[in-house]
Amino acid sequence: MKDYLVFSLLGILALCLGGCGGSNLKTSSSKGLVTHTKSGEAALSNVSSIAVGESSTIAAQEIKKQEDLRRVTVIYFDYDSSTVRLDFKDVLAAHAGYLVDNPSKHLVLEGHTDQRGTREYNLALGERRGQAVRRQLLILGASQSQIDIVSFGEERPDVFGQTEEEFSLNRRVEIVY
Amino acid sequence: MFLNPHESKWPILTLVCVLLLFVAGPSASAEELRIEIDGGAIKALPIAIVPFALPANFPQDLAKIIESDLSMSGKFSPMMRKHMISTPSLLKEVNFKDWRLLGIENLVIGRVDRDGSKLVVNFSLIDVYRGTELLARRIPVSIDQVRKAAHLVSDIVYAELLGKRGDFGTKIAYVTLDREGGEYQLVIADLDGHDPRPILKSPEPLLSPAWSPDGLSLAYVSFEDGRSAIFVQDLKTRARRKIRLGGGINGSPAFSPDGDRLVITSSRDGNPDLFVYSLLDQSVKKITAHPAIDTEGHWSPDGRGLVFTSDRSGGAQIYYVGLDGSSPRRVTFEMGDYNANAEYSGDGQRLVMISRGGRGHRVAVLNLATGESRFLSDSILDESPSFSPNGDMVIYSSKVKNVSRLIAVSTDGNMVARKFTLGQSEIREPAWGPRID
Repeated sequence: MKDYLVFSLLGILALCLGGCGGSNLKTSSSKGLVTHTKSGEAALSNVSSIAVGESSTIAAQEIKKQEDLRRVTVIYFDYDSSTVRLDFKDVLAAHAGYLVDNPSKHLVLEGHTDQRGTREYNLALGERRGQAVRRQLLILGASQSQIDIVSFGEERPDVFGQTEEEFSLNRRVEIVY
Repeated sequence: MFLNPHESKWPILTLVCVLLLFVAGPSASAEELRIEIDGGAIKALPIAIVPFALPANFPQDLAKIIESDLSMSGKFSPMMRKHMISTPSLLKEVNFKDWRLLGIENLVIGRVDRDGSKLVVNFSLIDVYRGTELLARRIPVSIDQVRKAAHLVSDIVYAELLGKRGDFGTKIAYVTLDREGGEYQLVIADLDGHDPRPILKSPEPLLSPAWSPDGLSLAYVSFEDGRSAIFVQDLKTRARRKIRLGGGINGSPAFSPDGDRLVITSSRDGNPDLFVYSLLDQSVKKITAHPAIDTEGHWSPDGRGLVFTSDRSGGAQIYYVGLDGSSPRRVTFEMGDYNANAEYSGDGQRLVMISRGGRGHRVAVLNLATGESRFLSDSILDESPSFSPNGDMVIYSSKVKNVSRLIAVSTDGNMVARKFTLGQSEIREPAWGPRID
């Protein structure tokens, strides 16, 4: 029950962010964030060693922006669709940029669906969503060996419940570093 | 019109039996299984199952078990016990006139006698109007087989009066999820929900249980390695065989009618296609090759082809493919934009599937000869329908307001259902086991 409440709160947060920012956002788990912070710092120190004056501030701002975009690790989908929505373009570009800059890094795309429809069909649909996200990352320069896809279909809902809002929070690809 | 108690008792009434069931052994699950029978059998046969004469302190009420079996089938309308004016256990004690006045056409009477350490169940099926005994049987059993003997009585009565084998002694497999603890279980139980035994417990998702035709193995999908893999488990030895054709998803296993092969779904070539895997020599044959999703393969009873779900036309629809290499042909037309997870009836004449219609995803039956289809359920999140071996019933899972249940219904339109719920746990994906002779 406690988890359910946390998920609900995250869900409400996600919907608020979606309403304000024009995209449906969710912050990643604490485990994911630690990794991001570390790599973000490393990238920052590299850049400041070659940049001077005003441009270093702009570069730092851009890095901060990319870092923030990479904090979004959940890509949401429309019903029965595996088309990556335009509002996640920048987020995926930030993740792809990170993979390009860090060829040794690897991520897993976990595909999920809502609970409507049959389980095995949803397992296939979850994989197709993962493939759609991978395609975007590859176009943006990431390499095949850096990306793995695991579909969970409808087996790992983020939130329980049967409203349209709850369904929409479960139709997702989670980016796991 | 004289008193006719069997007609008025079911329609609005919901009979609720709460049964506390515990699995024996150290791996026992102490989950409470709740069983309801919702009734409204319209053209059901009036029958009376008279309480059996039992030895003192006998733990089982055989007549109750038989009554529950027969009413669940939707074909019978058993008389309520409190309306019986006598309880004969021998033919010579039956007052035919009384039973005729009560509108009862058939009567089951019986007794359990001790024979040394063994027990003997004796019963008779009686035609009330002709005043004759249709059959009498003697079933020797041990004490732990009494429920099984009661189901056998139900099977014999069903066969005698309807000319068809009963399936009351069969088992079901299903998946449970304890949302609090996050534990998945694959469970096998009697058809009436008794004696549930977990055959596998896992913190990772389990799905798609499928019986071997001999009832000795189950195939299923497990995420225990972090991604989907198919397992075939021997129910006696618990030995398991893991099947993964390659990367991506590996799922949707179904045994061939001869039990030697599985049809499975694998996306090893980039997208989900059907493959036939030989359990004898591990050989693999690719059956479909289409960039769309092809999954949920199930064998035709003659073993010569498969029905499966594909979204090659845009939405999910049912297709048939012969194993001779012929190209797939679409089976579902004019049944809406989503039809999935089809399974044949034992005679190959009907398919049961999930079809989107009205408010949501419901169970539908398609008659392959006439092309007529009809919904068996009226919910929004129904899943995993499977026929009983004789095709007279379908079991499926349904979720309403976050409460999941298994529901067994007759396919003839009689609105009798047996429903299973499991406390706070989810219960889903029932698979109806084969009849073992």
